[in-house]
Amino acid sequence: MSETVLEAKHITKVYGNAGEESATKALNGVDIKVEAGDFVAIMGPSGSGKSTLVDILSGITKQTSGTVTIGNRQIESMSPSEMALFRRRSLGFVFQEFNLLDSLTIKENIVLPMVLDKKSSDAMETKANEVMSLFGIREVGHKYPYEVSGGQQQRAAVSRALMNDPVIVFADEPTGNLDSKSSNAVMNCFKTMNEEKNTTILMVTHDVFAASFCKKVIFIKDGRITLTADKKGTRKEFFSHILDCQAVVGGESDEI
Amino acid sequence: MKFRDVAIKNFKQNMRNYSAYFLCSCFTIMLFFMYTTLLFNDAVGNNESLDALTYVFPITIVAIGLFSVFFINYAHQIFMKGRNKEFGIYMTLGMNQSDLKKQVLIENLIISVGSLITGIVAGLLFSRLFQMIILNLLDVDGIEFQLSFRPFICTILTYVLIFGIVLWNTNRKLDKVDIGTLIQDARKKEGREYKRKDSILGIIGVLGMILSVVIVLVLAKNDRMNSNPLLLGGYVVISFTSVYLVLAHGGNALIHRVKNSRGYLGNLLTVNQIHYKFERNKNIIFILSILSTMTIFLVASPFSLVNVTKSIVLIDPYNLEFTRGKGVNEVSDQKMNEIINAVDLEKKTTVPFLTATETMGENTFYKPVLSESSYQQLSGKVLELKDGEAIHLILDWTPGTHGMQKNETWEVTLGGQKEIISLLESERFAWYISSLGSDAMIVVSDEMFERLSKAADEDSAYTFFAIQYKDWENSKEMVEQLKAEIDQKKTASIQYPVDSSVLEYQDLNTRYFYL
Ligand SMILES: Nc1ncnc2c1ncn2[C@@H]1O[C@H](COP(=O)(O)OP(=O)(O)OP(=O)(O)O)[C@@H](O)[C@H]1O
Ligand SMILES: [Mg+2]
Repeated sequence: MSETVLEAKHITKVYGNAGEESATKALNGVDIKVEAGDFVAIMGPSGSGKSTLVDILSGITKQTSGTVTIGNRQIESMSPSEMALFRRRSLGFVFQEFNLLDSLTIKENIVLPMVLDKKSSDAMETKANEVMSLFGIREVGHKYPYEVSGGQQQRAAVSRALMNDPVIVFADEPTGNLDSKSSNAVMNCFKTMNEEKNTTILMVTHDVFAASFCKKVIFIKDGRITLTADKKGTRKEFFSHILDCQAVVGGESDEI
Repeated sequence: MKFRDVAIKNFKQNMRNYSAYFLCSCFTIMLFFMYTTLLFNDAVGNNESLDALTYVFPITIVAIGLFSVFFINYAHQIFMKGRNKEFGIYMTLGMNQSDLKKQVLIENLIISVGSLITGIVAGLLFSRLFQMIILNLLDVDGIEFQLSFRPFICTILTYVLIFGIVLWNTNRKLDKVDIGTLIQDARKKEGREYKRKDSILGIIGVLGMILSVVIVLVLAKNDRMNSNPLLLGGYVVISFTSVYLVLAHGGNALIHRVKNSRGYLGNLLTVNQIHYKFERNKNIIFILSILSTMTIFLVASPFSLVNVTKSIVLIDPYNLEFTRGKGVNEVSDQKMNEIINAVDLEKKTTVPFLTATETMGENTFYKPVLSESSYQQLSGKVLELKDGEAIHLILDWTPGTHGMQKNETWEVTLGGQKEIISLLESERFAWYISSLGSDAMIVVSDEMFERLSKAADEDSAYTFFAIQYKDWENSKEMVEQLKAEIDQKKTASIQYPVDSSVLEYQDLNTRYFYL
């Protein structure tokens, strides 16, 4: 039996003051359990609460009620500086909004977590080279973000999330702005990360193709989990299974 | 690699963002330093013709100081906002707030000290030139450039305080920063949410802008108000605040209105584009408008005031006016003509007048009495007075009737001669004349003036000279010669001053030059 890495119980989130007209109920009682080595995608229509959910699970936003446990630590009871340390040592992030610093080269960006943790230069060098080779970006290590493609930037962000051997990596729309070829490359990185390093990954996406790389897809709508799909068979089969589920749940197609 | 290396690389990268903030700081520090240098110059303090400046300068310096607090703080906020992504990355990677604050503190120390040094050095370079220009505009000679340690101390203390306030404010804000808000901000592509107070503040801003335009108009129209430092300071504060309100709140409210109006869906693209551009650029618009307003205010207003002053002086068509009589401004005809004709004349008017006592009930006044034809010579206007009729003309700017009202009857006495006059009119003369020795004059018919002149002894008969030059600005030397000649005869009169455009202009200039 594998151990539980993340467990969330009865998560609710209300933006604004409850009772007021402007208040939004973004999450409405979500329970989630992620096992070590899991690779989970969260899907759902726009505004369904996907981003809100990862924000809460990763301790970025405070939930209105419910509990989140990562490893065996309850994150809402941590002080800000404990949380900072916890993030540095145990969590990985791939967020579109906070990708790379323009002032640093790709390699410098990648080693940033170790720099913040005051690791030795040798350790950084070894680790960075290893991860960059793994994701095929070693040759662009000396370049600046604006000198490389969007896909390479995103792979660098994925590499960075791996630098401190996190217990879990959170990603919000990691293929959001990418063309299909780049997004294929990025998703392969996540897959490699998951298979070779046994890293646990929780990812938000609205892209069925990206979701088909995962082992499990959780569908949410109006702040609730409506369906869960486990991978069986090939990726192609999983892909069409996800499409079917989406049709049942009412996904992107009934938008607009 | 150490974190310090990361910080330094980031600092270099951010140079463009920093430079706006840095330049704002340098600019205000330079201005401040130049004014304090002038203020602390002992020669300026001791010069009597610059008396007005010694209370106007501190006001200006305080104004620059307040402006700096506001401006530097604002520039700093913008600068910090541009770094949300950077802070977001650091924080998701596990940097904590105290490390973040430490970094911001170090950067700020570098910028503050840097801009303090640069600003003072720039101030040092330009303050000599600045003093030359100001004193030249004021027509003040003989003031040496002087540099003591006082402006340095004053500038450094003031700006250490200002940077302290800014940093304290930033620190307070950094306390509240968490990844949650940073990420929310980054996601908010639509810009800030609309709040009802945006409309109200926006409208206040528009009203403020209208008010500041009105103040400018009032200032431009009204000679006496444009020397009022309170009004000027109020104008600066109101115009800055209202531009800020309009940009920060009014724009937001307007966009909200447009979005909620019916045509929005059709114009979705353009409205969103405008909104996006506005959100991105409004800070820059604001900084630029403030900087340009400030520059215009500091550079142009002294010059425009010089012009206003000139036009006040030139309301009087004559450039030199004085009265000569027994014991009053005595100078021989020959000497006088010699001096006066040294500069090219346009016109010279010479009119006789008498000082008579006017009695009404208990009250007796001395007033200059002129004939109808003298009045015509002076002002170019024709009066048709019958014998016994007169008009009363007020010669200074003080309000009121000056004791005489239309349709009253007065008794005029000169020598033994008594005349009864009835006032047809009491009004203001076309310009102010101080050299006739009274606040008003009486114009009577030529026949009556004739009779009074015969009765008058030489003590009450005077001659008034009014001279117009081709180029009055060149007449200073001549005026001073004339005054010296009169002084030499010990007949200079306080009651009948020699009045010249050139000296009056210089005097007004000094008084108006509050900046
Ligand atoms: N800071 C906020 N303040 C108020 N309401 C918010 C805020 N952030 C999100 N919401 C609301 O909460 C709901 C869920 O938002 P969330 O961003 O989690 O959706 P999402 O599933 O990530 O959508 P998308 O696919 O568009 O990214 C939406 O109705 C959104 O409008
Ligand atoms: Mg989202």
